[in-house]
Amino acid sequence: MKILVNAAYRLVQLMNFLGAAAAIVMTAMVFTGAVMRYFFGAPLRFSDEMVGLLFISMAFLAIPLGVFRNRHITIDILSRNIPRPWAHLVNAVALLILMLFSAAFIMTSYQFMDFSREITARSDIGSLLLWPWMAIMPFCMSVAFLVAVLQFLDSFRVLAGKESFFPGEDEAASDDTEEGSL
Amino acid sequence: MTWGILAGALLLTLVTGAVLGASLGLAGFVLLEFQAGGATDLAITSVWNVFTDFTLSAVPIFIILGDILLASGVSTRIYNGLTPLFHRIPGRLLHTNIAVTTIFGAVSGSSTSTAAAIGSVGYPELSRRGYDKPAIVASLAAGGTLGLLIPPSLSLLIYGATQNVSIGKLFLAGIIPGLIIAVGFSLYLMLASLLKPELTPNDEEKPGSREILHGLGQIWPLPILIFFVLGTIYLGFATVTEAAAMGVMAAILLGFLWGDLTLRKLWRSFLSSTVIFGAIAMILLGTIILAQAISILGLPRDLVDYIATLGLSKYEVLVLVVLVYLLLGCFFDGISLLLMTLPISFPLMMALGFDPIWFGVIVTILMEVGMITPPVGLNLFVLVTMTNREVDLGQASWATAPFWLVMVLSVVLFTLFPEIVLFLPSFY
Amino acid sequence: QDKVELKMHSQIVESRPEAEYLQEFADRVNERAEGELEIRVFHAGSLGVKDTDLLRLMKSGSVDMAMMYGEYYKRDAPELAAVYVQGAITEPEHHLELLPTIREIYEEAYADWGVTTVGGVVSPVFDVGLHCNDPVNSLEDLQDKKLRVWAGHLVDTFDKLDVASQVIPQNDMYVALQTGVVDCAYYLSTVAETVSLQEVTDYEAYLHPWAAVPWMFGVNDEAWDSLSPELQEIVREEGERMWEKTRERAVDEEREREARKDREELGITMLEPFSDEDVAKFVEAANEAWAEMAEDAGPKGVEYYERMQEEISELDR
Ligand code: NA
Ligand code: NA
Repeated sequence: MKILVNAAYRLVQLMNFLGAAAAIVMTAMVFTGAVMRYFFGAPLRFSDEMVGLLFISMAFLAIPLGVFRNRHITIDILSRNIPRPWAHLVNAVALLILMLFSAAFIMTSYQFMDFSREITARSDIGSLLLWPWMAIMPFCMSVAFLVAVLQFLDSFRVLAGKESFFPGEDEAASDDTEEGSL
Repeated sequence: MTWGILAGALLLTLVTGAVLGASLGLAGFVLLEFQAGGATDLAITSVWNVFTDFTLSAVPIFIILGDILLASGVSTRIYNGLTPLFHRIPGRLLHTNIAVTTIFGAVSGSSTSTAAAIGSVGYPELSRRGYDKPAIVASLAAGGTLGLLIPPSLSLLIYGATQNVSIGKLFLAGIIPGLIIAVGFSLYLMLASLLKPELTPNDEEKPGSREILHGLGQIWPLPILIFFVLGTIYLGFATVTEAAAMGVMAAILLGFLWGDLTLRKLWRSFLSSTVIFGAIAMILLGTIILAQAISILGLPRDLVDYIATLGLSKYEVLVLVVLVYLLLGCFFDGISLLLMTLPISFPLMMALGFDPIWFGVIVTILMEVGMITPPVGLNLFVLVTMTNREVDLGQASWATAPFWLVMVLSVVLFTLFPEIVLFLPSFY
Repeated sequence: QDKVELKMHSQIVESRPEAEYLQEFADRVNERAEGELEIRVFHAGSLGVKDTDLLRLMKSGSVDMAMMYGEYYKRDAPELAAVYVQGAITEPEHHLELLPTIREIYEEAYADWGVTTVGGVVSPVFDVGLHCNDPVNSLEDLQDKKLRVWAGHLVDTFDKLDVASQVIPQNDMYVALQTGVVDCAYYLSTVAETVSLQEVTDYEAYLHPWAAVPWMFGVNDEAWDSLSPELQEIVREEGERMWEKTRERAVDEEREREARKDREELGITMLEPFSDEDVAKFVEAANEAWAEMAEDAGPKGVEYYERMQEEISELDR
């Protein structure tokens, strides 16, 4: 399982790199669009659409890493005061909720993408083929789902007294400073 | 039944500490599947629409801008420069949060862009200097809402266009109430830090006028940044999203020339801003799905409809309408709530003789209140995410409550003295 | 018997006359159905649904009823946006002559998406004009302006006339004009007041009548089948009645004159309309762009385009 967790980490990290690249392209496109319109009177035709598509890519690509590092917002006023054995159970239920939600989202977003592929839906102005962009939603959520499953399994190892394969919150924070090594 | 599912979902979230986006979204899916006849495809269409919207893309770009300013040390120097100036005022640099969000609100039409733009720099700089963390978050979240009231305002635009009310008059009407609320926020901050000195760091030595002047000399990049972000909007060079990108370019230049930005730090800024935005995206996902479920069930409309059938007096209806907006504000954010309720609430209020301009401002304030009302409050989410979970949603909400109260009191004030709202537009 | 409740989506804001007609249709159906059916209209998108998604949502049954506007479905059915375009007509009366063909095409197309059409609202043929900060009433004047338009086809059309334009959503138009992100808006002049255009532009010049796709009342097949034959009859009759009523009112010079006078009172300076020459150039460019759009939309698009061209060739002559 350690291997799986490591592989998952590599994957979510790679997705984070791709997301950051999307953010860079997005920012550059918005900037260029304004300059082109103002100085050259020639607005980029479908830059708004393209920016929207990069935006959704960036947003979804970043979700799995957030799951991996426990970065997503929770309300833990009650749960953090729950005593030990029960805390594990509660944590497992929390992960179950995450898994259920991801599963529902994967199914519906897959259908959305698949239907768009069938009818070859295209964007309004630039006529960009949309389904590959739509596929980012179920794909990223599937990775988030897998990470949640690994965490779910890991939580039972922890319950059995073994050490977690996932970084704790402190480790995750220190991890931030090392990730620029690309 | 619907309310039962909502309450159950909240309880489960609270007890288990589940990822909030997931539990709200799951509640949305359950409602769509079992209450709306299996209409789960609505969940994805609305997510797709929101996440491919050009306007919203301003939010991550502002977060990137803030991250670059931090990484390059430019923002640190600016805040260092401002510190002596604010030393004597109780609350000190916390006031910069209100002041800057007010100024920023004057160019940005959206509350969340404002919170994102200021929060990504304001939080790290102030918390590093020892200010009370929840207080920083609360002042930023509340200050951010001013973006909706001070023109230009997305909410007033939509109100004007859908209800055929002059947008120019609405914009004028928003100015004084916006400033009054900003002053109210600042007064509260002064009061709070007089009562609780631990809100601000305790460094005793008082800066002299020389230090203040020296400090001001340090902030020269600020006008440059302000020009790139605010000036370009006012000059018609750029929209808000474009101005965010202008700011990023300016920050990169300043960072390399004046700060200590490196390519490595720049890349890391993009990486960490995407992680932050990923967390915001997750919660957005959940709230979009839940909001879609509630709106397809027609709940907001039923509530407002119900008030209309009670046959109450003018001000009784107003009180109930305000209460309904406050209740719905728990589950919705800003614009979606406006679109769902206005077709019913507007004719209802007009029939009772309220002024259309006045009601536009009141409704906008209520939208703003919704942005900081938990459990679904986008400004809170954005800022809590930016703290890297140093502040949790509960602490943030609690610290925001007084600001919430200031806004609700302002509604009372503007009801008692509607001329405060209607004074400026009367000249138009 | 159980009461059937159908929720009906409409994107159009209540300050527009089309919304009033829709509400009248629903009220009359509800009254005649005597409690067996209630159509609840959600105006101004208050059901939380976007028009872009409407076809697939009607097909899946997630939305019961909607006031449908073919041009909005370009993403899912590009051929529906290629039925009728701005520049297709230069006289308001032409619209009425083309209307039966447009209706026929849309009814067929909607049926393919599992939607039964029951009449609808014929949009009023409003004036379409250029609203600018400077006096602009020729294509030449437009060439050094930044222009806001509402659809991709218009960008293509103005491209061919060497005018730089971009699609800006209605909600962003006011601020874009105010700050100077754009200098001119191509807009429905008759209803320009509803979005306060007079506050951010000073001049107006008429270009052509609005080639308005009709708003059709669509019911998804599942919801339609849940109605008894008697109720279906009532809905059909009332939809048809509204179609007739609004068709008679669609072209109304008096209304346009009054509206123009109102706008002048609000401070708009009315310029001479675009010259016949300019209009002819616009029509030519629009037609070229139309043919390309139909081509891109596939065989269906070309078929619809040709059916419309045939009707257009019979106008006037
Ligand atoms: Na604003
Ligand atoms: Na809220």
